[in-house]
Amino acid sequence: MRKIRISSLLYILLMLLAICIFIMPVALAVLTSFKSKPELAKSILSLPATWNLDNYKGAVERSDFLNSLKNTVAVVAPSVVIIVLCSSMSGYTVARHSRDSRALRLLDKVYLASLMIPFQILMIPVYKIYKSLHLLNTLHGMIFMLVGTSIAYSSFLYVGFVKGIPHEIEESAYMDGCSEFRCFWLITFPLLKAISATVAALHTMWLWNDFNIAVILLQKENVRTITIKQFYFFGKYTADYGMAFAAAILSMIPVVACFMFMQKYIVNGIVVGAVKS
Amino acid sequence: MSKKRIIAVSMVLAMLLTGCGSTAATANGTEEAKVEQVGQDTTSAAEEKSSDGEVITLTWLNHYAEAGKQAWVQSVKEQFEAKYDNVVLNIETVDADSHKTILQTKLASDDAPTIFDLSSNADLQVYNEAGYLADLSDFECLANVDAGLLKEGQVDGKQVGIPIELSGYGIFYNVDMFNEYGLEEPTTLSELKNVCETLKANGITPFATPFAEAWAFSCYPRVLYDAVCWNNDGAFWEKLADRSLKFADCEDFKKQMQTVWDFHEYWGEDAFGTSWDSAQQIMANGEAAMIAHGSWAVDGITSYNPDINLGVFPMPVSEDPSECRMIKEPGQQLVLFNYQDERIMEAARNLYNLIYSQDCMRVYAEEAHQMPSVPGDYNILPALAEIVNYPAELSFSEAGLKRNDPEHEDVLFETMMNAYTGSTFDVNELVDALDTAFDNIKK
Repeated sequence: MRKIRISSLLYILLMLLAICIFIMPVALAVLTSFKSKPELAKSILSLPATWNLDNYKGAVERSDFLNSLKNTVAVVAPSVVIIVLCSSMSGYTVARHSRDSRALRLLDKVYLASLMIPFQILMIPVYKIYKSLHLLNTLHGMIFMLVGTSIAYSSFLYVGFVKGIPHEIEESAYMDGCSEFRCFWLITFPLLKAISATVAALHTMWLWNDFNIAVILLQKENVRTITIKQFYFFGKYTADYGMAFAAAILSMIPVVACFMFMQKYIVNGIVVGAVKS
Repeated sequence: MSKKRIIAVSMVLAMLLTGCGSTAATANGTEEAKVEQVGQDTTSAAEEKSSDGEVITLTWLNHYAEAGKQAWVQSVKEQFEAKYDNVVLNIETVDADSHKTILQTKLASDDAPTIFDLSSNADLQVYNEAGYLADLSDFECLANVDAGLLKEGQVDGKQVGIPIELSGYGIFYNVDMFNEYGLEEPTTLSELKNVCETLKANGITPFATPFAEAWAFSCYPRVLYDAVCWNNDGAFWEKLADRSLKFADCEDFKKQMQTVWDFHEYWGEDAFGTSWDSAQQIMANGEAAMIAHGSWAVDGITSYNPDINLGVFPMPVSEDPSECRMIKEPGQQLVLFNYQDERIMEAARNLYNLIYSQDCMRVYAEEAHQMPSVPGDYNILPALAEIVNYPAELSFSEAGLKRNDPEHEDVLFETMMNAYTGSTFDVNELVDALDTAFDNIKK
């Protein structure tokens, strides 16, 4: 009994230590966001003398925060919806029909291969194509690119998940006269809730934080997203960490909220999608 | 089957041809820039037609993220557009790290910005060779710019870039702290040693040393070897690069490298673990009294402590005060893309005339805290004013002199950092290592 108590206590202590370690960077970011530059120079760990919001005001003004937030939402929300819809259908098709179709087996390999191509290699061709199609500095152009670069991985996740769903459910639907498309929407897609939540949450996070694509495609001030505005606080030789952290915290709020809301589906989806039953 | 093979081979060939079709500049190397880009669609980025007349749009790609510099860029835009009805100045600000990549992507995609900045004469040579740069030799604004700095923007007798600022290298110090301990600006190495001893005895770190970052480390030895070796021989780095001169044969260089080590006991506790930001904070807090660095340190340190009183002196290099040199280097240069269109060139000429005017440079000096290339009576930070007004005979201007290319520079600083990281130092080992590294590059 005594042994159990000590081990429980140790477990709690270890968990508390782990929590402190994980919370430390966030806590430092929050503290820094309230400090003036002279305070930052004195100590990184100390509490701010006053909890003033100057950094937040400055960050909102300098980064035109509301406009960049609007742009980010306008780019990320439709992209995530399109990614979930398209990749669920493509993952389903590959998972269910690749056994009979060489082209689908090849498509599966192409998806996998495309994950290994870094965006830097595509940068110049993409820029040229976008310029000729007048898609540069447009939010819909950005959505096309984000969707295009995300479909392969999300389809890959769906393939693993769909393979875990028994055929028999769909077969009984077919016997009742359901077409394949209706069967997918009415029977299979609801069963993909966990992986869809995972794909949606992960891509919300990744697309929200995207820098590489946005820096190339969105060069005009009025279409820039939040991540691109972050560099406004970093000069060649100087940095305004107070404002940078204030802007980072403001921009984190929506994506953290989304992640917390979908957290229980994410772990489930990743585990099920990764293991072939 | 044969049909499928033909289709497969055709697809592979098409992909290969598409991939090889463009030999233009790649994203990560100026060396790959090719002349053939010029002349292709050169008006697209700079020109737009409106229904009721012709509007010329100029694009200025820059990496001026600092609040003061952004204010300057914005004031240029406002003044320019107010003065010329038919011209729009489109500002594209990107972060300093992505600037080169974005510039080269744009150049390779026939979407060149009208004006952009390059940092050195070596860059100008590469871009000029690729045919990207316009000749600015007949621009009226050249008359406003410090003639000494203009040399940095010249390639093959043509003025292809115009510096917008001057940078200075020396020892920046806390004037109030020096006054408190009765110290004066040292002019010899023994005087500098005495200053360091006094500061150390009073619990002050003599030098803030941001050696965790190679570029910041480089400023420290640079204030010594540039002031002596390069000042005495303008082709110093060129000769070392082509190996007609060996480090081992440069007694002056060895002497200066030994001086760096002789002062290592006055560096901070964790010199190679201190970042540039930390070093600025250490200076701003009064934990350290001096820093061997570039003139941007003044703005950086002052931003952490607006009340700090900073001064600057050239690094002593020997026991002879007359050998001290304040190092002056031209900063960023504005270049113009080589448009073949007279209207665009005319609009760009007007823009240059505005940028390089005293009124415009006043904003750059006073809000961005820089030393403009256009001389004038500006209200700049005192330490910067000291650099600008430092006597020419006691200054070393690096304008127009050939410095190391990035490959040699990287090897130089990496080898030096390795040599100074240990607890012992042998100058002969350092110069041998440098000679080996430079020999390897030449091979």
